[in-house]
Amino acid sequence: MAECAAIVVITLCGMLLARAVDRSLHSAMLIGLGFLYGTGIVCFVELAMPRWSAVTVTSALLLVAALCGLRIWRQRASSPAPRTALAPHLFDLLTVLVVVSYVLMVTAAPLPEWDFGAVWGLKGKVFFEHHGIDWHFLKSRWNRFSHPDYPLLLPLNYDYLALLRGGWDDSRLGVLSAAFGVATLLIVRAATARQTSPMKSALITLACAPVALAIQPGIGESPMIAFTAAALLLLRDDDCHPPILLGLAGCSKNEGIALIAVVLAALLLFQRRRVLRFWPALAIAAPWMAVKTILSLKTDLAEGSFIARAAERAPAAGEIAMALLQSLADRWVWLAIVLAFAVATAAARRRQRLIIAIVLLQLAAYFAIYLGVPYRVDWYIEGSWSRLTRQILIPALVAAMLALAQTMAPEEDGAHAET
Amino acid sequence: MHGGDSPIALKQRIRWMLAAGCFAALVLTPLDLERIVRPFVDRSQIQAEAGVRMDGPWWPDYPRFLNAVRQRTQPGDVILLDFPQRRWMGGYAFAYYRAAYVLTGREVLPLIDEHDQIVRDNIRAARWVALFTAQRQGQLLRR
Repeated sequence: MAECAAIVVITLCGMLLARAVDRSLHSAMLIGLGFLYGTGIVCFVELAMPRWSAVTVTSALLLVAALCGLRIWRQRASSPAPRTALAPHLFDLLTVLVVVSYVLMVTAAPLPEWDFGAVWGLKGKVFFEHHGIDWHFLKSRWNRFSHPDYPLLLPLNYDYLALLRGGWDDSRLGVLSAAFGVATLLIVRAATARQTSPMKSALITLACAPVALAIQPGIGESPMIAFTAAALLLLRDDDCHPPILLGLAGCSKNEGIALIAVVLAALLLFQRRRVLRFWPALAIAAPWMAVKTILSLKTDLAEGSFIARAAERAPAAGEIAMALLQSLADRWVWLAIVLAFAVATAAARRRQRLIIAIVLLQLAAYFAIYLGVPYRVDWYIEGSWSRLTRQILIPALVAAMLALAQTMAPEEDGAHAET
Repeated sequence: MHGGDSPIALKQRIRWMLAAGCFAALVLTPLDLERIVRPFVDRSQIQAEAGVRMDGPWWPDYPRFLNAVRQRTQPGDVILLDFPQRRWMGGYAFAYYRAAYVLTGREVLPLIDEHDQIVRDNIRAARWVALFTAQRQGQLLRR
């Protein structure tokens, strides 16, 4: 299948980039990060090329891969990467079963989500037939419904799949959502294996599977969930990958920009010295921000005065908060997460405090945005709240489960990493 | 419980059990067994639901009509969409978005705007009119 070949090319290019920036990467983490980085490379290559074909885009990807390979080759003599294997567990088979089920579901029919047809898939299809980004389409007033201001990482990756196939087939493009989900699960598995036993790590990954494999395939949530989860799970003791992943989140959805601001705010609160090391997040998100400013591709949130609307709705903040609570998706999971932190020891909670703070700040940012939306708030809540909360569910879920794991077996903490 | 447990050990034991219970709940709560099993046993139902989900009551006639319009027009053609529901938020917008997706490469123009007003400039600019009626009949008219 051409789409699978495209995903393999994307992953291999990304793995070389990931290895070029971090020689210690291996196995599941390398593959997971490789795919995520690869989608970022595709995005920037296609943004930079005025006209595409399967040959030209693939050649450009291979050129990037070759440059990364050269850097790895030059560094080969210095500090050899430590080799550790990720031990599989029987429970991993259940996660594989969930993944297979998802792939069968998303390839059964053309992707049915409205936002695929009206936003993400539409732009991908328009660009594919145009052999490049159709700026006229993005600027037309009749296409405002397609949110021309949204970042283009996902549509541009659809285009690479379609280029390799030689045609647009929307019953096959769901494999990209599956690939984002699998990459997320590989990263969850590898990141949690460093902090708890193989069995608990496998169970945490299984718990994340229904969220990572997005309920609404084909839309921007799949990459956003993946980049958010990967960035926040690696954030505690890694300054190399989280900034890149946050930048790519900013290339996937506008919420990614909010996430960058929230992470920087949380670091300012808890780990001020790390803030400056996160400049790549801004650098990666900046090109699309610049393009949409130059072309005046405005988001509907920016229509009129956001602050005036927020001030006007401030007295109804309590009602809005209640509406958000009542429409919360996955409410039993969120309740179990709250209970988990109540049950966990203080030491285990403290260990997860950065992620907890980021999740709470991001929820607060969403709440502030709902206060200032231009149309009816209940309409926005109905259309977006379940998706927004799922974007940050995996970091919250993993943090809660790791806190419980540490509470059950404090000796596992960190030192129990798989070897 | 053991009779000889100190209060601290008992507290730790209770905390351990609560933690284990919470951990198990967090593994099981997100899993939707029906959703996991379904693609293995009933993919045809997923296909039928996908069509209805995209086109609602107009499935399968409306997408069939749009595909026929695509066959008969060329990239770059300007097509005006006339749809029985003439209110933007009352169904026209969805028909328009759907047409924009199926007819990529052409320029699809709406007959009405967001305020339900006829857009005369679009009528003048169109080379084709794609007319879909309440009886689910489609016609492509050349201007």
